[in-house]
Amino acid sequence: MNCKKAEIYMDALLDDELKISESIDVVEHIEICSECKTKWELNEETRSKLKHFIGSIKASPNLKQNIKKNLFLKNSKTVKFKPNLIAACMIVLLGLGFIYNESSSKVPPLNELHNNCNIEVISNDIEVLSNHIGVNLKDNQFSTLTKKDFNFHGASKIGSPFIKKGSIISFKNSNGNTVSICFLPENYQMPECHKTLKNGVLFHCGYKEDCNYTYWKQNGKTIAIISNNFLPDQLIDMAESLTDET
Amino acid sequence: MYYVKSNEQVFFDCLVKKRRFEKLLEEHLDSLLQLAYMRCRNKELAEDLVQDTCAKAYEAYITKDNIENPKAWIFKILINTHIDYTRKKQLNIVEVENFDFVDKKTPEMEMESNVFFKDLNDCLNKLDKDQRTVIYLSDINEYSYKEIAELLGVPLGTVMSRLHRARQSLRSFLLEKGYSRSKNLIPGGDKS
Repeated sequence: MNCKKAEIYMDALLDDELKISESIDVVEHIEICSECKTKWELNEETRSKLKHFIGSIKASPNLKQNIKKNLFLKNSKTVKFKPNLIAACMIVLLGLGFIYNESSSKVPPLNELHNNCNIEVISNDIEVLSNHIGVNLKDNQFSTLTKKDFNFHGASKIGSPFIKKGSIISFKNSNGNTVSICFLPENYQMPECHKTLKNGVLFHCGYKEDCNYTYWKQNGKTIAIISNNFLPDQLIDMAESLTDET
Repeated sequence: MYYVKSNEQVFFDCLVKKRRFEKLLEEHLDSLLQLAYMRCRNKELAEDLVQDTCAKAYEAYITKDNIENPKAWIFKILINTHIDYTRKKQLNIVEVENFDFVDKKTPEMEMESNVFFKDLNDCLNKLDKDQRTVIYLSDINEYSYKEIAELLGVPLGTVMSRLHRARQSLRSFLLEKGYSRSKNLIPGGDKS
């Protein structure tokens, strides 16, 4: 093997892209040719130093923060939420709560909910729910609830102390599991396909492996989504991003 | 159980996708920045490029169900974004770069940065962006020639020749500057 060929093969040797027989030829040449040996050693050393030098470049916390902050701005365009939904931006139905005021005949029995849901269904009765979480939901209304009222993790990020638009609250159910509730915008329009399901009252949807949730409806509108699959901060990220775009 | 795509599903789908994308970035952001730096050789421009890349990547990510090699995928987006930049003549600068990127320099690096790293950096500046890209993908990320060819969308031979010319140039620059193994490449050593 001559020097010219060895120099070409040296790169492949360095990158472990040579056949064994070819590697042996190149190594043998390098051993006996001082000029090629110098080149080879310099290649190896440069590579090692370059790895060290470039590898030490790290993203700054500022850059990470900026990227994270900008993600949902792009996201909202892509998922194509309805404009009025974006504009309304997760306005909490403060006065409505998730009290179901319609005739009880439309409310599916709890066992049906329970069978259809992976979440712990506490109740769709406001009093039972109030008792369960230790807050008088009916009297308080959501406009006056403060952080102290719930054992929740998130609303403080959005606009503490009051739960505001895009709010999410989480609380422990009787089994000690965290249940998160996300309040949807006032003018949130349910897709047509849902209106026929479960008498248009309450419907659980299992979605892929990640999401199991149920939602509360009032007067034909979805007013809250309850999930035990998402951590509160995940829900908050979404809510915050929508809030930012108001 | 129902599987109807609803607004709620889109809502939660976004959450899932966002979380996954964030994880992807956590894993590869440094590499992305390194590649950006190798492409444009300027800290601010590299950061802008990374931000634009992330935005584009996220937009594409939420419409995709499965990405086989996320790192290569996002690298490709960065390279294409940079090509767009240069086409728009937003980036035609090759600058001598300082080492502000390095968050915490080890004592060894402090010493080295004054000597060898500066020379190495000068050498990198003399390569073109395509050569620096293959050097980065091959030497730092240890991609195979085939992987690089696929990522860059060029023939295998082009990868090999770019790599060869890049290393040849680097070697020549360093030799010009008096480095050799025998004269001790380690900075602070016997550089003459």
